[in-house]
Amino acid sequence: MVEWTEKYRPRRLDDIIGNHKPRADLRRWAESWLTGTPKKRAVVLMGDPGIGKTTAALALANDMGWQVIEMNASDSRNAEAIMSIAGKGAQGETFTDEGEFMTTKDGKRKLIVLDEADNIFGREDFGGVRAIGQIILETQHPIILIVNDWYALRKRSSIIQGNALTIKFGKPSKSDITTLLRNISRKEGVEVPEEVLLKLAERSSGDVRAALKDLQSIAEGRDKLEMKNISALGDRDTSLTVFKSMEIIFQTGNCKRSRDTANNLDENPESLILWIDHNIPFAYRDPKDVHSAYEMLSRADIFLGRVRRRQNYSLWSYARDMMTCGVSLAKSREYRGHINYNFPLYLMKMSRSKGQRGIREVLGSKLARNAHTSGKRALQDILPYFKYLYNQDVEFRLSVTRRLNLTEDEVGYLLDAKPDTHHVRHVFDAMRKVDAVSRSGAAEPDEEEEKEEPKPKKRTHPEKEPTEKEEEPEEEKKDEKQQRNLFDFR
Amino acid sequence: MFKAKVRPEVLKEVVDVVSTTVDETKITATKTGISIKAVDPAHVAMIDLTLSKGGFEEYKADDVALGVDMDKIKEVLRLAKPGDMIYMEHDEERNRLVFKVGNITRKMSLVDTTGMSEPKVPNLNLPVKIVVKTDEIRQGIRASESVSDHIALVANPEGFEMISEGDTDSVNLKLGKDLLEELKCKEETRSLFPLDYFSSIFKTISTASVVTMHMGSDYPVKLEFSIANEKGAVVYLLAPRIESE
Repeated sequence: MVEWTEKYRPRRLDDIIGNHKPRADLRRWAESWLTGTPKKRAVVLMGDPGIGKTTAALALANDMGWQVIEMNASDSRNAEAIMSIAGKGAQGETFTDEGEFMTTKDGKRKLIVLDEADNIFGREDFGGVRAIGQIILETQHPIILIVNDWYALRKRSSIIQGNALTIKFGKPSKSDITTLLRNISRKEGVEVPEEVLLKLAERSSGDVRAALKDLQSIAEGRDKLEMKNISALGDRDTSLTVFKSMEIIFQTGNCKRSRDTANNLDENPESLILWIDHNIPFAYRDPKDVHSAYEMLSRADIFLGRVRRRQNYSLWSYARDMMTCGVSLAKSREYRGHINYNFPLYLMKMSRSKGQRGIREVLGSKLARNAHTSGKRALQDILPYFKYLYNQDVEFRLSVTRRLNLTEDEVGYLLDAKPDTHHVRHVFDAMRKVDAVSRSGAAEPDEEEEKEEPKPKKRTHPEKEPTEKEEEPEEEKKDEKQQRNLFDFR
Repeated sequence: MFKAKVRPEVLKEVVDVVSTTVDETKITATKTGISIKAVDPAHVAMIDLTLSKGGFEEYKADDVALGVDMDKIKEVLRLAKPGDMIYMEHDEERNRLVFKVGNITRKMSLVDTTGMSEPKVPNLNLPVKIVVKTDEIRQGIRASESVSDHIALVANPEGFEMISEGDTDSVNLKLGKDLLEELKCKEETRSLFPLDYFSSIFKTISTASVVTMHMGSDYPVKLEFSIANEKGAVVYLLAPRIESE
């Protein structure tokens, strides 16, 4: 069985539905490569799943006559793999799959496509982000990074952020999708009524790939479709139905429907309440309505509190009723028209700061160990002053970075800089320099130490003596044994 | 159908050469021998290896394409003791390649070849031809490796040079006409190449004492050498590094 998503994947950029402006931007960027290496050598294509980002990248290569090097999530994508495939490819001229030799002098290039680039940076792919940054700076060939969550990638690398052109793909319209589905079902010789097409397009909510897969799954082996065939498809994508639920809760005033929508939702009341909380002011414009809606929400919250305290989950149903029915009926009049419901800010902030919070905790525990106190105390009482000192005093910075064995992420956190910026690199460079100076001043270094030298992180064994500066007075050395106090940094 | 008996050294040579370029490949077997053509994942290098029937102790095949994983063959090679023979047979029913080494039978499932390309060696206009002792080039590579990660190949009517320039140091291997087996060059040409590719392919040229290089200016280099006591031949193409504009 051939997947229709592959069979009907557009081969040319012009054949992709919707997204006229992003496609034009992409083409303009590609054409700028014909006259040399443009300033922005990489493009970040962002947007929701299934709307044609990868297809656009491949179609672009086809239009331009470029050879594609694709690295997607199923390939190993640690720093080494990225460097050896994308990195090597980015520097040299090209042989195509057919064995033809292409030279950049004729404008023939490789297109390096890193699919799902926001997923590269898990534990197993460590270092991948830096490798990509490096490649972008040095590449002689165009690079496309494809992401769903641009934010996740951007915060890890200022190089990527600063050197890539971002192009956002939007969802194709329902009518575009309907047209596409109609054309394909015609080619496949399946008779599909208009209402079925419309329904398929609607439930895909912009995800062309999903729409096409749905169509194939119900149409394959038939020559005629009816409305009832659609029910064979299950529900899809809960995050989309949350918005739908918001609409029902805020805009219908129907108690039962509001309650049911919460029951069918794959969200527990704990997070549903955040959604409702965040969206009340957007939905209800009358201050009195806002007031009584929050009144209901606070009652719901009381139940949630009881659930948590007593671990009595049967109380959830009361909380749910309060936050759905209650809020739904709290309004004094109907609010019509389209309301833009938003993702709860609180959840967003928590998830965005997740990495930062993690770094902060580790930092806290490192401080705690050295200051003989609890992690909580270290974060509360020590970290603020520590951070201040760290920013102000260069010597202190170098010595504690070594003493606490700080990683680049942690140094970045302390300096309020991204881990790959020069601020952070500078710290490690300086440490290396100090090493070199102290070694040349000291007695003959043995072989092994020499080898370790390029890796500053590994060098920082806790039991190792802190580095001395040359100009330091002799007597200081004697104190070394007692220097277990964190703030005595020499 | 594919059935063969081969000495481990020969198979090892083939595997070593091919794995400089790809991890998985398609082996095309015909009545007269096998051939492997592949482009590396970075699309910078290309290989075309042929091993005639005579390179095998016994050989029998109809046209068949076998998708193999080089690492798996290396595992088989590790099982072979000196003097052992390796027997290979294609199990068409289950699409496996069955190896026999000593008393061990290793059944290897084959890789799907449908997605694999079959590149043809391109027709390149390479005006320079040099035949040189492999050892000389290896020496030059060894010297360059500590200095830089790329290497320039320069040819002129007087001789051949390998130049590697790092930030602070440089290495230069100069072979005059008299030190080359053959030199055909009308005017000077120069191309820059990634050293690691160059180095890894030269490490595999074990039995061939000389290698033929065809070159141009900012153009690929084409290496030709023999394997398996002249029973096989390799053509290796490496694309030049793009020098920054």
